[in-house]
Amino acid sequence: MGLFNRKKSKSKDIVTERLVSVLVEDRTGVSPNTLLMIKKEISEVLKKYMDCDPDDMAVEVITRKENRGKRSAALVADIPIKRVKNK
Amino acid sequence: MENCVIFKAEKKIFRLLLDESASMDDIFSETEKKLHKSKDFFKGETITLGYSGKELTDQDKAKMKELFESIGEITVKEIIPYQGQETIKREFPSFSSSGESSWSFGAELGNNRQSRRSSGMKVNKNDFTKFVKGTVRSGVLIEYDGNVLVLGDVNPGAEIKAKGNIVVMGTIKGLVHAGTDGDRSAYIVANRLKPTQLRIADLITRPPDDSDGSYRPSEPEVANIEGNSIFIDPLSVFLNKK
Amino acid sequence: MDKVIVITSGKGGVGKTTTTANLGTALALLGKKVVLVDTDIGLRNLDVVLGLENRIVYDLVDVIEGTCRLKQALVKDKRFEGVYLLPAAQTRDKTAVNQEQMIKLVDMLKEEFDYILIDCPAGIEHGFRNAIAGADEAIVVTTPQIAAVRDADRIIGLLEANDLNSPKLIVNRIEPDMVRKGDMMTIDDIVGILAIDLIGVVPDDQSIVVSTNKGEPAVTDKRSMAGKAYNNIARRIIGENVPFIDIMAETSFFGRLKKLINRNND
Repeated sequence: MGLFNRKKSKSKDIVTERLVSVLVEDRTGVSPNTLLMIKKEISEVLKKYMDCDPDDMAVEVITRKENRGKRSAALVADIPIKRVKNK
Repeated sequence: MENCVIFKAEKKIFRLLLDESASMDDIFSETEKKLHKSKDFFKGETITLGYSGKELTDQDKAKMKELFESIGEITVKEIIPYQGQETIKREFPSFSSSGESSWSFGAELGNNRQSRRSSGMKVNKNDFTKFVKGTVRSGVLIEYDGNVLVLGDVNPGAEIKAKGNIVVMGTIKGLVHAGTDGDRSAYIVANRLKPTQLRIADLITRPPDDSDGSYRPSEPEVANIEGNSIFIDPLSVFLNKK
Repeated sequence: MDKVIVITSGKGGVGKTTTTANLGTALALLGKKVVLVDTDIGLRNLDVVLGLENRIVYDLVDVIEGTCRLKQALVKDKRFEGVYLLPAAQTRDKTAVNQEQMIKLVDMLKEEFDYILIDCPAGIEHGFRNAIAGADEAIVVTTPQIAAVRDADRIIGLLEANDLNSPKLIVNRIEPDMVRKGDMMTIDDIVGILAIDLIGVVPDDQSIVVSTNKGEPAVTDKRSMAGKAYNNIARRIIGENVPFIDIMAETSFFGRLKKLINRNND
């Protein structure tokens, strides 16, 4: 019975994802569209130095706690490297 | 000129008591002021204006009609001289509700009051009653220097404060305070009393904690002060008191 | 936690007032002298949740305008030693009070009470700013719904902008069954997103409806799961180290039975 269910994402995963994207925009004013553009441009810049697939890249805004309890936002990029170009 | 015009709403007629000594300009500007103050009160009504105290020319009448219709949004059916003798005297008591409007209603007809006033007696606050049509809902405060009559219920979270008596043709579920200036003879009447709190003059009472509110009286109930406490009597019992 | 705590949420209907009433009563049961301040002028509710609505003579606006003394406006809860209510005015406008007046009022209350819990109105307008004006710390209440968590995030941002740093989070009305099925965000999801410290988790509990109907806080009902959760939060507020109840632990016999059968079928 789990065979068919497993394919669908759980509604809580959907809502968490939606919430995160809404909050990124609320907190920083950075829209999902802007993030997409940032991603593209980063990959353009990186092309000169290394091979990486833009589809594998994850660029997101996260919220983290500072020492004094205040929260701050940070841009985090996770870019798997396929091959470094040799000059 | 202050109070050179006084508004009074009576059964079929809306009365303008004009000061003989005032100029028409004063009368118009005072009318305008009063209409602005009490704008929303009669909005949409159709009335007959009855004036007394001063003669109005056809031109004056047209101007008056214009003021009522444009500022007050009241349709004026006709403007006629009022037959009664009452005119403005300077010592006319200024009863104004501390609430949103300053309209006064004569609960009794003018002659009675007129004679009492001319015999030097003080005008009783009970001669003025504010009528409230419909249910008074949470968050609404009705405060008046005379009596208050509500044609509807007083819901929890609503407050009625009157210097005189309070009559509710419905159920009191909110807070009502009669005799706010300390008059212990004031009373509260309602078809049904299920109040959050009742106050008369300086006394405060609330229903006992174990009351489940299921009691349905067969006649209106009256809250009144006896000795040093507020008592609830059936209307017939109250009427036979003293 | 410090003594002046504002309880806020942004979104309405997530249980701020119920939380205020229960935490206040729970703190009093722990021997503290507590005043609950309703700052929702024009839409007061704390009085009815506490079952004190018919004892109100004066309110917060009367105190601020000098119509009465502070002590005259405080409504003592006769059932629990140490619980007092400062009710909001119902027939007034929110603008009847400003932030300086709130700070002054809270300062006066500080002399009398161990804890001052301020029940904040929904929204981020005038009423919210009044409510947080005199507070030292904040508790943010949310529910596992996207709208509530989003609003909580906004509120946390505003609290930080007003130097109310490290607010504490209460996740209210969590439904373990739905979480288990993957149809409700988990506590970890919410805490991870909001990035503030959790001070308590309150399960969805029908006994809250019953106790609110009666005007008796749930903390006095020993069988109420929510009441138990609120009692634990109160103990954390006074500095006790209380472990979190495992809300996902199966409590009903049928639930345990189902689990057992499922396990055998795997």
